[in-house]
Amino acid sequence: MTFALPLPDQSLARNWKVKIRLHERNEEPHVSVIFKGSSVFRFGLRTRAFLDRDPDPRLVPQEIIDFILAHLDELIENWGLMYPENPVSSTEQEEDDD
Amino acid sequence: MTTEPVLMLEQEAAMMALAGATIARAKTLDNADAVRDALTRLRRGVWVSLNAETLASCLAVFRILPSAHRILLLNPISRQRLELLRASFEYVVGAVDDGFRLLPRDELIDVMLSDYPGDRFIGVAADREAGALVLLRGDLQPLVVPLTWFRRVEGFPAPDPTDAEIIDWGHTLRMGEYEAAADAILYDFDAAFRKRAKAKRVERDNSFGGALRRLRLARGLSRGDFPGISAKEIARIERGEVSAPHADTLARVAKVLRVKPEEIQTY
Repeated sequence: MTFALPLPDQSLARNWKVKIRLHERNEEPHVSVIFKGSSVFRFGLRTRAFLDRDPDPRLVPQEIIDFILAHLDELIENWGLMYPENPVSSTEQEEDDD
Repeated sequence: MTTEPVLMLEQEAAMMALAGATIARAKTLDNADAVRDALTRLRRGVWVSLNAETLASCLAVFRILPSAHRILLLNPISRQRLELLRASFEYVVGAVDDGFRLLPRDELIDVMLSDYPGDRFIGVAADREAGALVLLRGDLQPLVVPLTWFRRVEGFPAPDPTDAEIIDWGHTLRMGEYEAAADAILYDFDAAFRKRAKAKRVERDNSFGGALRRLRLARGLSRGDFPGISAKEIARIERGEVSAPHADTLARVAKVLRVKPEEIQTY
């Protein structure tokens, strides 16, 4: 089961998808912003910024970024359910000395 | 960026363009001589064919040795013609009963003509008996992924290989209700992809500890999941506080992570 954020604008939704899939590159909590073209942009849920410099994050419409930020709690909650071993609230260092 | 040309017959390219596919970057061939030249002069190439009967008939009149070219057939072809193609191409996909479920045609052409066609998938075939999927990359290179590789999360659906397809313009593998990112698969199975992906990160942590942490998380493991090594020790290695981890420690860590010790640094 994938968590997909339904984009409100139909013209945007034709070309873009915002998803957390059950098997992502699990190095840092993120949401995948998938473009119809060749690009997937990873938006970090801890840093609230794009994780990669390429593809150029400036290609992502501001409306999509605003929509992600408006639904951040929902995204963080779903990431936590899907990736309990790597929750957004963890800073990694916190579990160091158990 | 790929340097392999995408080749197709001119008349087929025109039909694909009429169907809405963007084929501007394809190299089109307008007669049998051009087909022969392309197969013999170019070291490698990726071909797309709507009507491979026509293409096969071009091959029939020449003596062409087996090449490193690969071809995707978008429509069925007779067994006899298929054998003709197999004699000339290194890899023929999309033929009768080969089991591949392909992307919709317009998306498929879009992937194949992109700058990095190998970074997306265009088709999938499941072999449940062997417990593996064959994923077809946009450059027509197959990639075999064991079904056991896909992570399972309690409370969420398991992958259903009987209902596998590629979606999201080649960026996602769907198996029933389960979805996996194409880049997660490629990151683990293709060292060249991994190298490029690492270079794209905004915050690059190229230390051994950073690589170990990324790989551990990619495997869905906590620091306590390494038998014989304390979570504290793993944390120290990840933070770079252990300048040279002992070879035995590395071997045990690598075994749990299912890689060779020297591969950890590449993640």
